Amino acid sequence: MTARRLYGELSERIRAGPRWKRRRPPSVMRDSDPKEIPREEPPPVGGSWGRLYAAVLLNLAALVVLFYLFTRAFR
Amino acid sequence: MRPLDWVVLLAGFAGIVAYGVWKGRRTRDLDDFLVAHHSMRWHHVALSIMATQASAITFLATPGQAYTDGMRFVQVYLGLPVAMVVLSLTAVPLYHRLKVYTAYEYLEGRFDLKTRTLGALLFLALRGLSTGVSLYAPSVILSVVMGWDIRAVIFIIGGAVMLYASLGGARAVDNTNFLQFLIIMGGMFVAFLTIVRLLPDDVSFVEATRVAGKLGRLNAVDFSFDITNQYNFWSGLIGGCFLALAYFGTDQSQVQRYLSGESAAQSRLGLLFNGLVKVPMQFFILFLGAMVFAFYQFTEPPVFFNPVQLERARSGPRAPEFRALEEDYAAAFAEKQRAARAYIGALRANDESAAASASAELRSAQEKADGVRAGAVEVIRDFEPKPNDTNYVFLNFVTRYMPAGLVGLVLAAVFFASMSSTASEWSALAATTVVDIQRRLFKREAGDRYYLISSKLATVFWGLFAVAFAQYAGQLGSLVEAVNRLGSLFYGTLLGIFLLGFYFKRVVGTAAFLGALAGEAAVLYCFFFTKLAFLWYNVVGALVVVTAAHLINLLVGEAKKN
Repeated sequence: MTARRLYGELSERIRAGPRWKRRRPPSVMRDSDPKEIPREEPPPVGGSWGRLYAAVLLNLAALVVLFYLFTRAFR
Repeated sequence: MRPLDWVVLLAGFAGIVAYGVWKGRRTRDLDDFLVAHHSMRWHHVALSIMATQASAITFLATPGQAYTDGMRFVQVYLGLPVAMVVLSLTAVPLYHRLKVYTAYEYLEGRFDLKTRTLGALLFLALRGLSTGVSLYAPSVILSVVMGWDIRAVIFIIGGAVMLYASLGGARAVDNTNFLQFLIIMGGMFVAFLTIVRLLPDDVSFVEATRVAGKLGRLNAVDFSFDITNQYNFWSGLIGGCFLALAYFGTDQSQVQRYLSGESAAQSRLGLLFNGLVKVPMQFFILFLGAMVFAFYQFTEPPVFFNPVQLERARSGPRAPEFRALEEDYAAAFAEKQRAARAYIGALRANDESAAASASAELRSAQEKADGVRAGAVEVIRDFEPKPNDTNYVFLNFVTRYMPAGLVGLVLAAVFFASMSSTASEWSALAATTVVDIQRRLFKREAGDRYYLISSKLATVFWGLFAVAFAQYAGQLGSLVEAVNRLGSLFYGTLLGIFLLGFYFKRVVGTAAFLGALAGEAAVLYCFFFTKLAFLWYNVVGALVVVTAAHLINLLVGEAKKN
């Protein structure tokens, strides 16, 4: 009985993964934690969300550089 | 206005209203009315978001801003793409998962009823007042430039929006926003091409642009750090990011747009598209204004662009003095035009020293013209305490120089810009009134049909309120200005509450509520007692709410332990 319980606990721990990877217990409102929101749904275009975020931020960086060059060129 | 302009304007106006009514004809339940059954594709979401943000004032005042002050205003939008990424990661999936109708519903689940009600009331008060102003402001410009009766303009815009927004709700609003925005951008693009075509034959587009640049109108970016100046890179990136987070993440008029997305992914993509194109779009509108400035280096502009105030000054008690100033202005213009042509000649000859000397002459002539204009403004100040013609520059150019048909198109674009932002605001105000106030606080168990009819009536109510407020806004004077500033006074606080909800899960409702009060007090202190640029209010408000709520949370925790 004890061995079976021990086996059960062990398999539960293995399934749960290492302690640092486990989810924290639910807080005041589970849905309020952005980390717990599934983000698997792929974007309709662009391949992956990471790529789209990078595109938006790189576009911003490129625009700032272009604005700087524009300001200098026509100063 | 020529007959062809009337045909274009009336056909466009009637067409868009009919399209809105037709699109919303099958709205049968509350979910459809408030979030269009989550049926919008990402491109609809994106353009509806952009149409909501860009009011008629954006398209009238922004080119005028570039004309008078250059293009540095574009920096206000630099934080927006960052905010779009943050919201796509956090708020959008969260709202979709919770299936909320309003952003404030989330606050009750996360904190408590009083925090939700505080958020909803803040939104209703601010947006309710500002929607009247956003109806009044373009109406007054259209009435002044076109000579139309301001009450008629307010009734026409308000009545048309009320018709399709109250019948079709979010579905009608999102579909018309989409179409309106395409027409608005088409109108702006046509205006740009017209300016380029109207430049003198012996001056190329690049040369005209160089003249505008030499006179300080192409200053798109400034890296100097100054917290009292909102038009620099740092204010735009940091303050602008907080402002965009607050506006797109907590203002129901925007939240409702992406809640109508088919899925969280469609909504997120809509926001990211906005993050990609918003800054270039603002740059384009400002560049349009800079090109109007370049055009007026070769065609004499009026000394003041508000035609009503100009005529009043010409016929007032200081008319002889004003006439003399107008003559001086014409002489200064002739001098400036000579210097501009000399500068272009030097550029063509690749003669650097001649270009430097011509450019110094050009700037000196501009200063002289500015001095004469300042004198004219002083005369106008006798009967108008705060003379400002920035909003009239672009429309003045359109009505005086654009060909028949295109004037009607640009005017239709101005009408559509006003209608799209107004429709989104009324729809959002109705949703918050019914979902967060009526259904939550007063009548919790009525059927879907009851709330659908309530939402339609609430849209009509907010429409009537805005029309009535707009009728009297002109007489309220400084209050109009106060209402315009009001948004920036409260957005930081609202954002702080939502940041607590999203990221700090140990903070309880009472701490968030009291933190919000502390944040608001800090913003009001900055407003009354400091010279901080208004973009920074959003940063101060949000940070004080988060910090104060944490401190109060500790005290509440200690009190409970004891």
